[in-house]
Amino acid sequence: MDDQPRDETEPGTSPPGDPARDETQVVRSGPVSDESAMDGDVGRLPIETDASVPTEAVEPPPIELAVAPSVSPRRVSNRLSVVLGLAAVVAIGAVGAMGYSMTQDLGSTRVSLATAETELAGTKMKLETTSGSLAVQTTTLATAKQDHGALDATITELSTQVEDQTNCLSLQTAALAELGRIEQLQTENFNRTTEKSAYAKAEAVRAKAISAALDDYYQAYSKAFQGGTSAARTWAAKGKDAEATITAEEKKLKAELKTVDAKAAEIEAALDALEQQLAVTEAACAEVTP
Amino acid sequence: MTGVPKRGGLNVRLALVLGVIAVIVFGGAAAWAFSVNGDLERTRTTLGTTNADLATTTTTLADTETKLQTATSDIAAEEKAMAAADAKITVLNSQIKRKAACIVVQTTNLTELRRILALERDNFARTTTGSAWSKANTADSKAIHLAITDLYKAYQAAAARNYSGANTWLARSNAQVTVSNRQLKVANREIDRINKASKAINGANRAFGDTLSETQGTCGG
Repeated sequence: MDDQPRDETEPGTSPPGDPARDETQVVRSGPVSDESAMDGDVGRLPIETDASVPTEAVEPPPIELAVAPSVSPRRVSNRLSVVLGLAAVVAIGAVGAMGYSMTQDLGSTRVSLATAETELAGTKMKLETTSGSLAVQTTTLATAKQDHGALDATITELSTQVEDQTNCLSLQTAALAELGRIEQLQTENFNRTTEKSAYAKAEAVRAKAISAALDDYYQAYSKAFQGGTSAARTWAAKGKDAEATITAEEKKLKAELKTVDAKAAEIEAALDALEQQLAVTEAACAEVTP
Repeated sequence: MTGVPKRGGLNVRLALVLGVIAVIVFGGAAAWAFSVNGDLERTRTTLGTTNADLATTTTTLADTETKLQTATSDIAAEEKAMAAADAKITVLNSQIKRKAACIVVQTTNLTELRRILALERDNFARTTTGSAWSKANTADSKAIHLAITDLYKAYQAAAARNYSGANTWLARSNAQVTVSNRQLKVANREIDRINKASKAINGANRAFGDTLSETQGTCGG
């Protein structure tokens, strides 16, 4: 506590030296008397008056006085000063330390930021390059896919063409085979009436029998005309035999011709079927024939 | 007037000056610290944003690199597939060329075989009922039968001593033989024509056989 003796103060006045009350206060004075109620360090000095001038008690109007806290030089206690000074130093030091720390942080953060920005710039550049490459590759891929699609379409078209050609060739081969078979039938049928055929042999025997019959009957006629009845009968009998041969061979000829006719009918039916087959073949081959 | 006792402590004015100085220094330090703090906060915010941006960019880069790798791989696959497609197209074109040549040859073969068959049928028709040969042959056969019958009747008339009748039948028989001979000539002429056509057909067939050999070469057997 304050080791200085404190002055007594009038109620309504501020105690001197109290920093907490160190402020001007407005007080209302009472009637002024000859004797001041104030003394001590703080108080009003006695007014020097001229004794030659009579004085009279005048009731002055109440005035308001601004009372200064202290008119004498005041001091702050050393201890308080030290405390306040230390507090100020500590506060300033703390702020400074904090500022320094933050400056260090700021420095390292700026370094980190610079590093991050550099890395970001590098990454962005790499990304840009990679994106550019990706764009090129994407375009290339799209083109490749388009080309591949076109090639696939070509393959499909060509495969269809090959398939159509294969179908055409199969039909042609089948038609050729059938045509060859019919041609063979036709040849065989034709050959049933050619030389060395059964028909030709029968025809040859028949022709010979015809000649024999004509000769034999003529001999019979001649012998009968000459009166040789017996000889005439003999020749007539031979003539009959020849006629029998003719009849027999003609039967063979008819049988052969019947076979030929039957085969001819078979060939006709096969040719009718082949015509339809050829129409299908031609239709199938029309688009693939160069 | 009484003297003021001197007291210890710091003059208040000095204290005030020092206080003001302290306040100013503190304020300055605080302002500096505040400014640094603001800078630090802003820098940290910027760093945070930059790091976030970097992370995003790195992720995007990684994603883009993956896409690039995939695209490159896809391109390689597409190029391989296209090479295979090109090879297949070459094979297909070759097949088409060979098959087209085969089709041409087989079409020619069909046409030729149909022509030969038509010739054969025409020739065969020369021996069927209603043909010139058939008519001649029928007439010949009829005439020769009559000739034989008439000659047999001539023999019978002669055996019955009816000589004039016998001679009449003989004359009739001879007339039928003449008819027969005439028809036989017609039939033989037709047979010559048939044989000539057969010769042409056989020649065409032989040529066609050679063509078939070539066809096997063109069409791969």
